[in-house]
Amino acid sequence: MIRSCLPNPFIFVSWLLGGVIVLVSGLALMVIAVPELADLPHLTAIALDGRVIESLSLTFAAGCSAVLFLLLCGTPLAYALSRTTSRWRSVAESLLDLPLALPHTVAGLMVYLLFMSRGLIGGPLAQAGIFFEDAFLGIVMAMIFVSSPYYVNTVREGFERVPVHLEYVARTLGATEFAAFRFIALPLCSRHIWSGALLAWGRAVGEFAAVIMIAYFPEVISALMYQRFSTGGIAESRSIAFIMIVVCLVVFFTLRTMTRTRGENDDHH
Amino acid sequence: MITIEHLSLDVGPAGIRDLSLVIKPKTWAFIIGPSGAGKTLILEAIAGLHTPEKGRILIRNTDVSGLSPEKRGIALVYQDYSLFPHMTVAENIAFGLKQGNKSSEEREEIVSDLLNRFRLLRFRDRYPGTLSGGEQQRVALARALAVQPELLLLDEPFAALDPQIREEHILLMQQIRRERGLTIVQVSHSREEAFALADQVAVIMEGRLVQAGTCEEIFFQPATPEVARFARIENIFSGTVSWSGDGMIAVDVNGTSFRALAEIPAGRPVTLCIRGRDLQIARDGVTPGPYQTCVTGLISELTPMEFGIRAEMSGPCPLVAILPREVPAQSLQRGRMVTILIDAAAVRVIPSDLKETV
Repeated sequence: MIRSCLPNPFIFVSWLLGGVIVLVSGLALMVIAVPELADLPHLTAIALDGRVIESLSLTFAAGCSAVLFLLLCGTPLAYALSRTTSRWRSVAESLLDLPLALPHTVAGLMVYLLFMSRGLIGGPLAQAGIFFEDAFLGIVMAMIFVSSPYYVNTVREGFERVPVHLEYVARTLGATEFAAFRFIALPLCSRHIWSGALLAWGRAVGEFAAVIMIAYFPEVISALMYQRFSTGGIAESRSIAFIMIVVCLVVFFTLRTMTRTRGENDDHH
Repeated sequence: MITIEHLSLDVGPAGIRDLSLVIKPKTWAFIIGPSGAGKTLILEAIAGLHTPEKGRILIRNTDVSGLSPEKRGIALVYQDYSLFPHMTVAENIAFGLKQGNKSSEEREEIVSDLLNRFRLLRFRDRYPGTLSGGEQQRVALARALAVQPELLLLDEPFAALDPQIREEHILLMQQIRRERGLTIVQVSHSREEAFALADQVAVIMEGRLVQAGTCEEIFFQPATPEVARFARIENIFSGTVSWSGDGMIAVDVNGTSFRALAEIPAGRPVTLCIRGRDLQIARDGVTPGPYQTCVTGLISELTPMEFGIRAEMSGPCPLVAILPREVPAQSLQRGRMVTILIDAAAVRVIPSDLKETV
């Protein structure tokens, strides 16, 4: 009994080493949270500032739109990648991972060149009255570009964990290819889909450089914070940062808790 | 009737090469062969899960090569049962019925009947992950039978079960097959299962059909040395025909002359296959007949088995005999010299051109 209370030495050393990361994150949170909580009237004033509320709403709406797009288009892509053995798969995966390796300003420039009013995609769409520069759609496109690898890679791993035999059996039992996907692969991948969506949303709402390249206005929260930092100093931007941290923590915690038991039956198999 | 004509297919590391096979209706056909031979791929190709690169598959003389799996009326049960982990037992069994747009009343009736038949009633609302291997297999079989398939494909379904449950499930499947007039194609490694159930057997090696026939033909008259090895024939030797005449040959194997019934000219290389059960220990003073081979050897190892004793003999031509337990103990001792007699009719001869001769 006494032995079982003592920590495993290897786990203890692992905690000591890994704890550095947790400590740094904790300290970073502390240096923002302590002064903000010490001056609640200022924090409340910033939180109720119309521009801050507008910017937060815009950021979250654009982030949700990016995730919605990824759910609709990224899910089929992840499924196709998981069920493809062709050498073209690695070409597609490399292209998809590109935003992970690039500086975000480069990613932003790529999005800008593609979606600007004279761009390859933005040009024809501008003639149809759809604009991306300094527009909500531009923000969404930049967010999609930088967050897509997080979503697609996570969901692809999820689909890879679903044995293809399950879909084969479903087919022999009368399911079409779509029905096998809809009733077998998709529900068994739901935990990865939630996880991928959450990661992608987090990445999207936190994006700054890629977004401001195509749309500095309307201001997303990171742009507003940068603007306040440049003009109002640390105190102004720190309050916005703290609000952002709190909101993101609440969203992540709530969704993680809600989806903890999702798809747990597949672990028994 | 299922006819496979010159089927060729590659899926990942596995492949099928120019495979032709006829499976008669209402039979229990076995596909056997070593791991990685492409056996499961054949089942999947019959089910329509892979498009053949060459050749075609006919069901009742209709080419189904272009027909999608859901329209073939073929059910498949994998070795790992492949139950849907996010559905209860009842939902698993009802899955195919739901896809077939059966009404909820019809579904309920069929599911309840199968749950009862497969002794699964108390597991109705349980998830597959909470069931034992045997219970999972019963769910997989019930789910496959729920859609009333004409053909049932079984991929080593009994391999992971303990012997008692395996026996129960085999009896149940035999009963259901008789009642429904089902055609079953089963992939198996088990010689015992093949002997107990198979009406016809096909041996697949490296994606090719190497022999098809009855169990007796496959296991007692293998067409190639590889089939003989797979059939676990204990004594397989390479030799050369040293004499031939009157339907009998003598084959020289490392200086030992074996007699066999065959017509092969002298000088031809051959492979000899002799089952361990066909070796007898000669009583003292007995002289071999003209249709017998006599080999002397030293007993190097004795292993008791369920139905006899396995005796390994060393010498210029090492032999393995499976002897009845009734053999007197004093003649079966490690280190003892014994004389073995082998009837010429028990020696299977495979010429180097692989054509059958006996």
